[in-house]
Amino acid sequence: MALVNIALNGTDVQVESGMTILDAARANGISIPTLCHDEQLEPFASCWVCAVKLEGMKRYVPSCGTKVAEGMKVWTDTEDVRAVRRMALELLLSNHRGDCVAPCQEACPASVDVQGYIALIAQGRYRDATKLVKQVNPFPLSIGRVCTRPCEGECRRNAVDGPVCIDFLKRFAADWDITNPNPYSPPVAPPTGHKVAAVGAGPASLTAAYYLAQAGHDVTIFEALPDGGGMLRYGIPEYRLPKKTLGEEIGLITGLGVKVEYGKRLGCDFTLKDLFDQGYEAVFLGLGAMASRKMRCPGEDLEGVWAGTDFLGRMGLNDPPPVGKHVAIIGGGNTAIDAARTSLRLGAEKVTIVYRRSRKEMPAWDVEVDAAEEEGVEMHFLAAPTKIEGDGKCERLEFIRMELGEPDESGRRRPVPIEGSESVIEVDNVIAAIGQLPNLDCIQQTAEKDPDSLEAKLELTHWGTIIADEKSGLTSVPLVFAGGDVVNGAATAIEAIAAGGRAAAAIDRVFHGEAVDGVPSYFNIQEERWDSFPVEELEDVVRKERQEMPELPVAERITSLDEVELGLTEEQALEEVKRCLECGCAEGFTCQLREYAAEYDVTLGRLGGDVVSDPPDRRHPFIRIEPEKCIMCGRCIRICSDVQGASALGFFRRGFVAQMKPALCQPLAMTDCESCGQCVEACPTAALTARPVAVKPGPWDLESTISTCGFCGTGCTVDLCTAAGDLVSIAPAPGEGINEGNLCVRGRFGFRGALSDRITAPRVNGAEATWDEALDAATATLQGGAVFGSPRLTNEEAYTLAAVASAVGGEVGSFGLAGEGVVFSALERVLGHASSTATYEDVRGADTVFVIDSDIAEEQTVAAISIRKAAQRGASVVVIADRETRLASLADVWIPATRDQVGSVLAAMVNHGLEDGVDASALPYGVTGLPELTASITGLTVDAVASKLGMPERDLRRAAELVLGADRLVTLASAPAFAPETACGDAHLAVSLAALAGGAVGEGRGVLFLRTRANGQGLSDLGFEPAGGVCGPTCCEGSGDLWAAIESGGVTAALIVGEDPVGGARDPERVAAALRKLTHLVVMDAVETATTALAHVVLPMEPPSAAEGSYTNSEHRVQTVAAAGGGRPNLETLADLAGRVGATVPATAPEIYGALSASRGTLGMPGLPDGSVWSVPGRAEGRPLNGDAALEPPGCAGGELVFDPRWTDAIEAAFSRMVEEQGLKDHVVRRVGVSA
Amino acid sequence: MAKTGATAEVTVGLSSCGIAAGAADVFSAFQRQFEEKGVDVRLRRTGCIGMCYREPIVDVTTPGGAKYTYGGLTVDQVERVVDEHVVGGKPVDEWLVRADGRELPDEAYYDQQVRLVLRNAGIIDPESIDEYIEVGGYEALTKVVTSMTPDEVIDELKASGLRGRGGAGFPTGIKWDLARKAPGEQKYVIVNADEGDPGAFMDRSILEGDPHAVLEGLAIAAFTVGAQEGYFYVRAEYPLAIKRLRIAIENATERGFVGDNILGTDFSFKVHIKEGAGAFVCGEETALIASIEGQRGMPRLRPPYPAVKGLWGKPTNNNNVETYANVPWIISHGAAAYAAYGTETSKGTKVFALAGKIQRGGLVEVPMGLTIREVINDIGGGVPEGRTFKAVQLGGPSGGCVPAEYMDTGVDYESLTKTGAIVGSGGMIVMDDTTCMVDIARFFLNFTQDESCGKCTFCRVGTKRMLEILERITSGEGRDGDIELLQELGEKIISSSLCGLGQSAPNPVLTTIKYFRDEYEAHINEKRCPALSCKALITYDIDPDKCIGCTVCAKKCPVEAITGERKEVHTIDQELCTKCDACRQACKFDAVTVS
Repeated sequence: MALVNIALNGTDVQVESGMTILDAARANGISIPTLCHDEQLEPFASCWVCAVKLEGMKRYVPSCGTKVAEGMKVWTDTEDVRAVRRMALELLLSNHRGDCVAPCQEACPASVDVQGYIALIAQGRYRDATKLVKQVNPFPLSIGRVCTRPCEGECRRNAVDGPVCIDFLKRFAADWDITNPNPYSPPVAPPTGHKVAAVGAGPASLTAAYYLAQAGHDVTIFEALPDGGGMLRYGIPEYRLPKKTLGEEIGLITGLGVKVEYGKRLGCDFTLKDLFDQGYEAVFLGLGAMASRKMRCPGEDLEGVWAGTDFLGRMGLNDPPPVGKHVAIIGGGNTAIDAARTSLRLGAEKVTIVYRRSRKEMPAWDVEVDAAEEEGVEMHFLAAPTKIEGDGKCERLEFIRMELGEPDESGRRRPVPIEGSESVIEVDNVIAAIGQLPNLDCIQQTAEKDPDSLEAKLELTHWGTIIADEKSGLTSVPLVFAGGDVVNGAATAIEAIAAGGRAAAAIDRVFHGEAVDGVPSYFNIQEERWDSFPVEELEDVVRKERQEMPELPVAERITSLDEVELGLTEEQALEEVKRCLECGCAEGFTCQLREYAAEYDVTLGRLGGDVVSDPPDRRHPFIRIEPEKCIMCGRCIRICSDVQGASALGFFRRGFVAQMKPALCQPLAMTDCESCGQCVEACPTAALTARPVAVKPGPWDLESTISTCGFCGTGCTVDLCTAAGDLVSIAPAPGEGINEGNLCVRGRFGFRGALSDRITAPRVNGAEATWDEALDAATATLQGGAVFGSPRLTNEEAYTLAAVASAVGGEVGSFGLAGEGVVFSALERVLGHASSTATYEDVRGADTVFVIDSDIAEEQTVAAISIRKAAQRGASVVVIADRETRLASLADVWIPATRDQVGSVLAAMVNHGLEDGVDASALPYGVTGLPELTASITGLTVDAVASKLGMPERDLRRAAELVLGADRLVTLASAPAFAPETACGDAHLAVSLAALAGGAVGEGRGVLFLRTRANGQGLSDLGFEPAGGVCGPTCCEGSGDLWAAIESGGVTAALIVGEDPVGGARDPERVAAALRKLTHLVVMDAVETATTALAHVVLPMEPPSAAEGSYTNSEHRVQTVAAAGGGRPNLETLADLAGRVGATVPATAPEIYGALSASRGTLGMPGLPDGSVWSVPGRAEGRPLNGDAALEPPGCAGGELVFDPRWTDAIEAAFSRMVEEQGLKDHVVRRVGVSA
Repeated sequence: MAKTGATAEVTVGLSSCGIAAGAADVFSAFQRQFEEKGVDVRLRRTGCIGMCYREPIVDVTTPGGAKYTYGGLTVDQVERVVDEHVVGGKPVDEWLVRADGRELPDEAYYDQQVRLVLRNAGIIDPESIDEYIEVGGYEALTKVVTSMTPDEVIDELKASGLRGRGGAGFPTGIKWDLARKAPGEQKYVIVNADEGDPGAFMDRSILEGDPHAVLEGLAIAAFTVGAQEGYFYVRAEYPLAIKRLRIAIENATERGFVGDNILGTDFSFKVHIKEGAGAFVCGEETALIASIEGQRGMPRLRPPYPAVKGLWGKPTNNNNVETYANVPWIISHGAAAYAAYGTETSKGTKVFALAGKIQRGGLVEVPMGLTIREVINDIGGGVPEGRTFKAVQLGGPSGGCVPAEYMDTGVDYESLTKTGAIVGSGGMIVMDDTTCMVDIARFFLNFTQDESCGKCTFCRVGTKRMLEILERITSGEGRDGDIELLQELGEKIISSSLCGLGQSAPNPVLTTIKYFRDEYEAHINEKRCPALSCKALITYDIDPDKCIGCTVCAKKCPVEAITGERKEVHTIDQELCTKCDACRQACKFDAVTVS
């Protein structure tokens, strides 16, 4: 490749000519954003987010589509380039509607993933819900009781019938978890050696300590009071948050190794310098705001007059103040209400709240005010105390009437006294609850004493709060952080928790040498608030009232300090979760638009205007379209047509209203959509998303596990995406694997077949049993039994299963291999090895691809993509197919032949070659038996076949010429391409034709027979016999047919793993009858099937996504299978079975792999393999093909096919049924198996 | 008995413009009259002769060749023309608009025109290949295929200085050379007849008036670049042009000017017509090619240019109608004769479509470099009486607005570009003092916004946002900073769009801001439309001094906003008034005022 010299941002570099600027920049470590560009597609250049500047050009150019040229000077990151990109993003966002994050989460100071935990609660996973909350908030028990619930204030459901009980649900999950014998506790990282001190044991410090401890840091909290919790303990009354509950919650925090030293007060007992001297490297100040504001009226110092915080604080200290008969509370906040309700509980006969504004202005929570009124608290509004009188102790309160004047800066109308309106009430106590502020005397005293002290350097506001950075909590003193009320003034617990979390993260960053405020910035678009949200969009929401919190009856309440709110019942919680409207974006964590918007610091609303509005389209069973999120990059449209060849999507209309739409504006399911999900993957936003599998969608921050697809034999690389340990989606790994980032409907959505009818517990004779009981029962009478395994078992699982068979003296077989064996034996007989000789890469590089189309385009989509790529490169494509499949329509020659006619067509092509004088003896390997072959197909000449089958002779001849004349020929077929009765001979002819054409083996050429199952090749290699195949015991297979043995009664026990022979039977009654004759039937499967229904012992199995080990694909490539989620590993179950029958097998997948490699030459690779093609005959080892084998004449009489192999797989069958029920177009549910 | 009279032939202009004005009926009326009266005079049809403002137009030609032109002829007037002039030999003087040897006012329309492209339009019968051959048609093609090499053709074109008349002005000789040199056996030539600018009708008139000239130019191009096939991409809204093209192709094939072995040589050339569905963007060459291929008409990034990778991925030459129509003339008359017209860098002539607030609107062809003043005032007769010329929009919706003070700018590529406008395809929309420049910018942007293919972010969304800003300005809701935002958006749209549509869509806005910023400011700051055109910003009142209480306005008012007793001063209820202008038009006493 020629090189050209260009300058990238002023640096001279050499890059390959023909590269785009984008690729050249990336190759030189310069990243350029793009939304419309896709590696798999030709440049489209529409989004302009990749714009760059070329020196000497007035206009910008899209770097994705502009090729480098000698001498080009490119600027990728100048301010004007950034301005273009920023405006492109602003324009795109101006026509992009949705919530990046749900309003509830956005409203939460700690950004608790509300929808996440609601989703988990909906699934009954209360512990996981608590775990999710505790990722940012260690106080769900407390916050679930006392939070001010900004989330609920923003809940969009307010516009319908009231907010979701978000906080009650959090409490529900946390209550459930804490009553569990083993409440959730996060893992703690190994000690880092870093020491942190926190001052004050309130929610801010405890939160900081919780996360610092998890990170492995050594945290000590210094607390002045005798117990922890801060205002949660000393400000919130028992009846709202029981001390026991708070104590349990704090216990879970200190349980992580956090030390608390009580009775230690900063300023009195130690200074900041002392802490640093003691080796603490950072200090967090969570000092709270526990001092009460003064009323500034005469009599404030009389006995019986208390500050609200002192009053409640004494409750926390278990030292109840002696209240009299009549208590007056001054103030309208929550503290006032708490003091009032507490006074009642302490025996006051009359409690009066005196508040200077009206009820409307009360800052206290409405529900709390209501509860106080219910309990009999009286309220004097528009009244302010003027003096307190009494003889040494409080006896009378004088107050003055107020009226509301002009609004002040808080927006509330300012109360103004009405002259001469004073009145007096008799009271025994006055509790002043008119506001709180930090008590920083300790700091100030130290500062005054020593002007050089750290305390003196701590900058305060004139309200007496500490100044701290918003992102990190860092104060004016290095390594001293602060958060919570001491910074915010008296605010909420959740804000303190949020601040503690931020400070912990900042301190952790400092320990890692990172910038203290290096918080990634997030970008959010947000829909209108619920009170201005377009009502018509909520019209379809079914009204459903909010669940009511069960409460203690009023009479019981005021006589005790018992908790008033009893918590939602499970039933209520499960009803309440249904009310969630699922706001927020499914791609919130992966959206490229959002990422770039943050990176380029866009201004929202600057260019705002009309939005092309169009409601979400949920008619497709797997794919959701949200047109208002589409940015018209066209990636979905192009991937669908150019890569998948389906053209199910297109552009619609012009101008601003142009849109991406399913073809002809039909529902997507009614188009040529193959449900491959390529469009979902291509979409840079959430205009196209996979519909969620869970009851609630998340959005999830997914964990990713790279593995190999468990469906067909292609062996696509997949990304198993899990959330909270559950598989929620499967995606291709971008650009990775044989599939190069593509995937088909089964690979992507097929796992949903395992979502219902799951077998969750072992059964013995129909009754649930423990694992031990079931395993014992399973192996008790298995001696001499037959063992069957699915071709979707890993090599390691299959190996262990084979060991079981061997130990009980039985044989191993597979129903899923039925019918496939004979096809592969053709390869063995002609080429010496029962495996394919070509790779997918060979397909892409072939000059002629010969496809005996067994629905490859539909069944093995990714293989079809390789063929399409070859055709796009200019390869000739010859297709035999009974109808005009996609491959047929792109073929140079399409021979329309039914499966019954395939043999004749192949024979005609062979004859054409022989007539043309192909010299078989000159082939690189000896093809003997040519006379026999010739003799067997005499008469099947091109003209004879053409006339017999009524097809154009010209086409047939051209097909033969293309195939026989090819330089790099790859032949593709799979078992379903051939009629069962003649499959043996037909496959033989196909391989012979390839051999005659010189295209059976060699560099860049070969025969690729596609396995219909992920590990069909592996099972064959491990000696699993096709059971119930077409040739029977006497022909190709050359060994006894296990199924015949069962039917004849020769075998009386069987172990079937992952297969449903009854469901897959062509005559289910016959198969069921045979199985019923067994005295002992053990079935292990993931879902209930017709076969498990007959089993004596049923063992649960994990689906392939949870399997570990390796698969051998159609190319004979061994690839790693990694487990994502799942319960008891299959390998463990199988090993337990093996152990019970006396077989010794290694326990782990890598060990088994090692054993396999040692015992069988065929898996001759050390260690766990990773995508190496092994033992392609004649290639890997350079050995010749089986030159001794005669090219035997075809003509097996044909046997009986008992099973439709595809349906023996229950998960796949369930998925296909699901697809069918969803009404997808017939192309997704294909003619299956080898049944006609 | 046949009367021959004093006339050799009668010619009726039957282009779309004429037919729209009733020319087909006039033609039939002549036919009927001739039949009824047994007049044996040849009745011919021809294309548009340019005076669209005078349609229907009828030429009466004497045997001696003297030509008398009637304008605005109605069916009722035909009998008198036949009786008095065709038969009687005495022209009906009061209906004549032009006559050889007479000084009629419309003569000025032609004084400064040089008709090379329109050489046959309005003269020959476009449906007759014989008439085309009679005036020298296909001589150039014959010359090229029998005696010239492709290089010689290209040299001739380069020497002529001909530049693409579609808008961009790329030198045609160089373009053909690129396609000729591009490797590949299979090549194509395309005629871009997807004329879509509002107010532009040059290509339509040429195709309707002289289809063979374009076909001949195309065949010469095919020979030169080595193409075997050609396409006319004509918008389907031009049925008459398509019909005449079909006839032309059919006849030319019969005569061996296109088809296999043209004029007995090895050169074969097949021509197709592709009807476009009316997407403006399909005038962009890559979108046009996509459309012919059956794809959505969406431009793609260039390079590769169509000359290298065009239709079906093969080298393709694409020029517009007018460019091709120039070619036979250049070959026949020589490059030097062509280059004698025009300026140093803009050679030859350019056809303009004069429209808008102008006395004589129509199709004019002038040498490049003539001033705007000469075109508008001398040829077009200026704006309607009583009004003052304010500006002219040049180059269609993608062009720019040139204000009165630049009237002495020459109409050539370089001079117009300096003003911020472009020659474009040749639309000239004249505006007078009643035109609001903000509103006119809104009008053009509305068009381009609708016609954006929707591909590029800036064009799809950016033009919409600009349009929204203009809409709010004209409705009196403009904000501080709107002008700057329009400029920022406009500049970025121009610099960050794939095709000419986006790259030029903001031009009308940017040029009106440049020249008429005060109007924008008046709308935004004073909520006032100086041209008294934006409805949201004007009020209708009745001048009590002038109103005599005739009640006419009240009767005309469709919303009953005007009240008043007979013979008393009327008043307008501003709440109800929809500013439809009906009252002002109805008032004979100029009592309705707009402010």
